[in-house]
Amino acid sequence: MNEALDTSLNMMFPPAAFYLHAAPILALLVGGLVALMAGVFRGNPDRPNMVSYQIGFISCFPSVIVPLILLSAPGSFGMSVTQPPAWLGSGFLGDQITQFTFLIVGLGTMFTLFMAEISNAGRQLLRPELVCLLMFASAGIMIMASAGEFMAFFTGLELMSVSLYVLVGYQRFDMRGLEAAVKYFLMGATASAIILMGMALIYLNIGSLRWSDLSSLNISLSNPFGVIGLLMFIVGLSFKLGVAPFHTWGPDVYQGAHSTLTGYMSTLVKVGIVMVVLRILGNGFSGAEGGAWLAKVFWVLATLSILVGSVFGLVHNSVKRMLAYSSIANAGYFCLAFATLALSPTSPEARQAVLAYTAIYTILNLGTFAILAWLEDSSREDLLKEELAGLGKRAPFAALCLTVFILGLAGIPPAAGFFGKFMLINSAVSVGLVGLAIVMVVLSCISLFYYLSILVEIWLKPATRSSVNPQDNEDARDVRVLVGIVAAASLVIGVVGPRWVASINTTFARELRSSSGEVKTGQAAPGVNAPVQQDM
Amino acid sequence: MLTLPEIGLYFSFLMFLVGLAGVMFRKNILFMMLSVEVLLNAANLAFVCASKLTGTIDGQVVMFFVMAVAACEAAIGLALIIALYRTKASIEADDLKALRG
Repeated sequence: MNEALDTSLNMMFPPAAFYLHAAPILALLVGGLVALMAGVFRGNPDRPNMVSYQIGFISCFPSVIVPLILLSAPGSFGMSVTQPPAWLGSGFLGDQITQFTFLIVGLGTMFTLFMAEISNAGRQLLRPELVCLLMFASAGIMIMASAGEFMAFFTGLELMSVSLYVLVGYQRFDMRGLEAAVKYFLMGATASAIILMGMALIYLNIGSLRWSDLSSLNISLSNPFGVIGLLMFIVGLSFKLGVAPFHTWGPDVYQGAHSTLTGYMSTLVKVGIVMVVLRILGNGFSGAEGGAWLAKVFWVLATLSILVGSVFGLVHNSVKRMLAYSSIANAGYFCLAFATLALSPTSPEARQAVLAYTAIYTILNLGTFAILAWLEDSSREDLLKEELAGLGKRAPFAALCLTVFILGLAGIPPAAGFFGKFMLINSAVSVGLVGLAIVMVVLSCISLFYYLSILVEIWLKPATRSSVNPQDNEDARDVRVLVGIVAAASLVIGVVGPRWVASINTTFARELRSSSGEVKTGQAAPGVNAPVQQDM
Repeated sequence: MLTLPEIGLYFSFLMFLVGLAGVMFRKNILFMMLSVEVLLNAANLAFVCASKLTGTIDGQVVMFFVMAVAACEAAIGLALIIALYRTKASIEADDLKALRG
């Protein structure tokens, strides 16, 4: 009798280690609420509120400190190295992938808040609700990335999505922001419903909502419900990720939202979704020809996204729309990694390549949009490509940083993007996806064309009357320092990142279920530094 | 002979198709939002029926969560539509053309 009671008490009151691992999420949720309350009690709620900004900024600290501790000392706090634990009935996985995501999301949120604070236009946004919504969206991403079963994932996904619908339409008297918000809402809500229906079909097949039980899902073509369910799940996630046939909302939403928030949306949201796909595919499926057709699906998605991203990016004049297409192309690279994972689910190289590419892509894109927000600050709403003409002379530092980011996104060797793409293609070739790898390389050469067309405007064209002219004031100095740091970081992480990611234990956490009285094997004796193994 | 949960399951597929058609072919944003609610409810029905068919309770738990989430989404969606109507005096999807490349 006591055993059952103990189990249910454990579910309700998880051990102290859980609170340490989940501290980033808890801090963000509490911080968001406190920031909102600070707006109620202090001054005019329609004015920017620095107190709630500071509260929000501070509540991001745990999501940087906790992962750094847990990633640098994996065996500490009595945690097993080989088999990380899961709590809340697989609702929270305490593994290193979770902590890695927390670190990226925490740093990205701090960066977004800071960028909003130091730019003129951004500061007008900093009302308490913005801080609260950003905190909640980040908490949603973290919940999603750390979820080991469908219910926690869906709650996180909706927490993130609903916050983002509001954030996109945050300037509610701006027609374009509102239009983007409505489009994003309709697409996002439909995608959520498709994900839900797909999971209902999968659940009908396996009778469980846990990712770890997905390995018993038979995805051979003789099982239509399983196949359709999985396909709907993938389609829904592709909507959210902005993968090619489902990308139509992307450019509109990116253009309509404020640049600071666009940077947030195009990076951290994708980090969360990518981690979820990694966790779903990483368990493998059963069924004879299982992974083969799944890999083909991702093959098609990857090719289409990179094609659409590279070709349609050429015809647009708005810099933000071009970057939206660039992020569609990057979603294609993630699909390349997913194809690799579908073929060899437990391959640590494929998982590490995904982690490395998310980190690198996040830094590059956040930096690019930070510069855009800065340039828009001193000109007008939507920056056109011609307006960048002569930027190299007028604001050499901004132009230099932008060049570093764009070279990185294009994947030219000294910048970070090259190493990310190299790892992705390397792991794809090692599982036999040579054809797809060749297509990727050829298409990324095509996409070079429009990345370079931006650089030509910046460095080679003379300034015209319409070109943007960044003001040199006190704000600009802060922005310059911050963007410079990010540009340097993006260069450094290109060299250090892959090696750092290789040191991360990509084993998924697993619940220790003692249904038949025996504890699952794989738990190392405490204190023993057993060699890292991949779970099956 | 189909049992009741199976009938419910097939009915939920039908509802899902109806909702999907509504999202794709309707031009009024309010009706598109209603169609999304139909989609979510179709998924709910499928979860409950699957719960009965598999003999596990998880699906019914999901249903309650989804009902709460659907309420949040409806609240946000209606707020956005009202804000849109105030600035534009129209909620037709075809009128949303400020953002074009």
